[in-house]
This record gives sequence, structure tokens and C-alpha cells, in this order.
Amino acid sequence: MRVSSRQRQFDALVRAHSGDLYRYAYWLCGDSALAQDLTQEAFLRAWRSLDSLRETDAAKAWLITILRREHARLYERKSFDTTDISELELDDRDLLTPEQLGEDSIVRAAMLQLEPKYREPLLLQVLGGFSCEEIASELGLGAAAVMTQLFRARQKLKSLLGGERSEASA
Amino acid sequence: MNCLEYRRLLASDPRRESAAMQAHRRECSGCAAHHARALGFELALKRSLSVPLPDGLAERILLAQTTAERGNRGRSRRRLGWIAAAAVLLAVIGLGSYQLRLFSALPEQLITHLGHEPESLLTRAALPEKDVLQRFTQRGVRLAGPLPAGISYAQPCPVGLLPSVHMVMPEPEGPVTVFFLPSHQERRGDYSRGSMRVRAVPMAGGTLALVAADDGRFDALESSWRRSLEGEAEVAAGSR
Repeated sequence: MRVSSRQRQFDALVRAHSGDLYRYAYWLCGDSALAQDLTQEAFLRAWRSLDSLRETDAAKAWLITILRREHARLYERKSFDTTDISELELDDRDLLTPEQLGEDSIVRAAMLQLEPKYREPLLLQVLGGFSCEEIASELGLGAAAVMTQLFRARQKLKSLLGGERSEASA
Repeated sequence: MNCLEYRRLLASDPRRESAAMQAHRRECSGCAAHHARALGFELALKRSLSVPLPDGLAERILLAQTTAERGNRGRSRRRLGWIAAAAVLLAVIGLGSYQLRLFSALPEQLITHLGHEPESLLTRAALPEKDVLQRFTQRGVRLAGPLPAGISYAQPCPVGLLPSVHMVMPEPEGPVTVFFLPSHQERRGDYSRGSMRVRAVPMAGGTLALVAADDGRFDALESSWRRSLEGEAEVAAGSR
């Protein structure tokens, strides 16, 4: 069967960015199954409007925007249970040392306790690799406001993790 | 740049240091150590945020997309199928009604044809005989006798699906339209359609048809045309 160039472009897009999008979705909603649904829905929407994607470099930011809208829509439709820290999944444990496992579990729990206005720019920076200006554009904020949120996000995270202890042990 | 400013900027984006920040870090051992700790924290943070990916995530997304796409295409194809079927049905109905008109009874077809060529009744001047003969020749008909006089219009026309020589003879009672259909055998009959009278007469292997509002000249014209088409001998033998 002959595959269209549009389909090939979409395949490449999925393979290149589905992981980042899933992780971003996971940290938006705190639920693996929901994050998978969100990721899939975002990609299906991306497929329908694939012609609007003109630059390869803009693909990730474009997909993140779609995912955030999809998440907002989902949030409008139904309310979610809050995530219990004890339910956090930790896979591939064999690859990590016990210290790292403990560390990741604590960091993840702390991350979910961050308010969304701090968590979201931090996710975009750490997972997405976006600059302050790009995050500001994505969130519709000023660059200075984003810098302040990022500063406070790290301060709060460190505070939740026990301050200097986490910084020193990292 | 002082240490407070450096650390504030570093906390907002630890992986991007401006030239001024780098210059400060090189000169300040406290901030250099802080930078190293900040990068360590970022590394640990990124590792922690990188939750494991579900198995086959990309494949499941592609499966959902291709399945949805095939469904859409199927719906589009079905829609096109319905449109094509409707078009075929309309074409059949259209062709059917056209065919019905083509195969309707000869008197109706003759009167319908008259409506298509109203200009045939406008002239009264007789055509040169050779022009009329040429129309018969075009239809593969050889006359056996002389042409009746006073033919003002002659064209080789199809009447429905039947080839004919279409003529007009301006008689004193009004014009009489004469058709000779060389390859069609119609039973003899006189018909009335609205204000029009039609006579069909089998003649010379075909059919002679006379159409007029007044049929007073039909008998005389029938005899004249029989002489032309079948000759004196046939008329004498009483081929009617």
C-alpha cells in the first residue's frame, strides 16, 4: 500500500514527540491512562490540522499547544480525582539505584503538589526544553512573569523536598 | 552582576547562562558551586519527571489515527457511492423519459417534430424539384413517378429515432406537412390529436404521413404521393 507524504510526516511526528507529549500530559493530569488518552486525542487533532504545521522546528510547541487545549477541554467536561501520592507508578526500577528510586518518588510527589501555575512553566522548561520567551508565548504571559514563576516553582519544589537536602544530594 | 541577581536568574533558567552570568560565575566561587548544585538539581528533576512511557504508545496512536482515517474514507466512499447511485438513477429516469418520447406513437412523434421546426410552415414558394429529390436521395429513396407540385419545404429529419423526409405543401385549406419514413412500416390509420389530423399510410416499403389542421386534401395528396413513390402501375394495381 502506498503511504502518502502526509501520513509519513504524521508518523515521524508521532515517533519523535509522543514520548514528550505523554510525559507533559502525565504531569498535567497526574494519571497515566488519562495522559495516554490526552496524548492520543492531541495527535488525532494534530492529524486533522497537519497542513497548518509549516516548520519542523515549531512541531513540538505546536503539539504542546494542542495538548494543553485538549487538556483544558477535558477538564471542562469532567472533574478528576486528585492523585494519591502512594499511587504513583514507578517502572523500570531495575535501572535505578535505591537512592534514586527514593529520590524520584519524592520529587514526583512534590511536583504534583506544586500549583499548576508553577508546575506548567517548569514542565515546559525541564521536559520541553523551551526558553522563558517560548514559555511566555505558549502560556500567553510576559517573559518577566514566566521567569518569576520559574524561580518560585524551583523554590517551592526545593522547599517541599526539604530545601538544601535535595539540592545537595542531587 | 551581583550574587543575588545571578542566583535569581539561574533559578529561573539554570541551563541558559548569559555572557554576564558566565563572567560572574568565573569570578565567584560561591556562585560557581551554586551553579553546579543547580545543574545537579535540574538533572535529578528531569530524571524524576521522565516517567516511563507506556509500551507501544506511538504505535497505538498511529493505529487510532489510521483506523479513524480509514473510517472517514469509508464514509466518504459510501457518500460518493450514494451520490453516484442517485446520479445513475436520475440518468436512467431522464433517459427513460426521453426514450418514451422517442418510442411514443407515430402521430405524437410527428406533431412533436412539427413543434421543433415551426419555420417549415412560413414559406409558400415552391422549392426547385431537384432540391426535393436530393432530400429523397439522401434518405436512399428513389422516386418511381413525378413529384407532386408545390412543395415549399423539404429536409431530411429524424422523427424520434426514425429517419424521414420532412416536407410541407401549402394547400388552399392550409399547409399540409408530409413525412416519408422510408424504413418504417406503420399500419394505415387516421388519427386526431387536439386540433391536428394525422394520416399514416404504408407506402413504397415505408410510411407516408400527412399532418394538417384540415384533412380535406389528404385523399388527393395520398394518391399523388403514391404515384410519386410507387409509380402508375402500383396505383393502378391498387396497392392500398
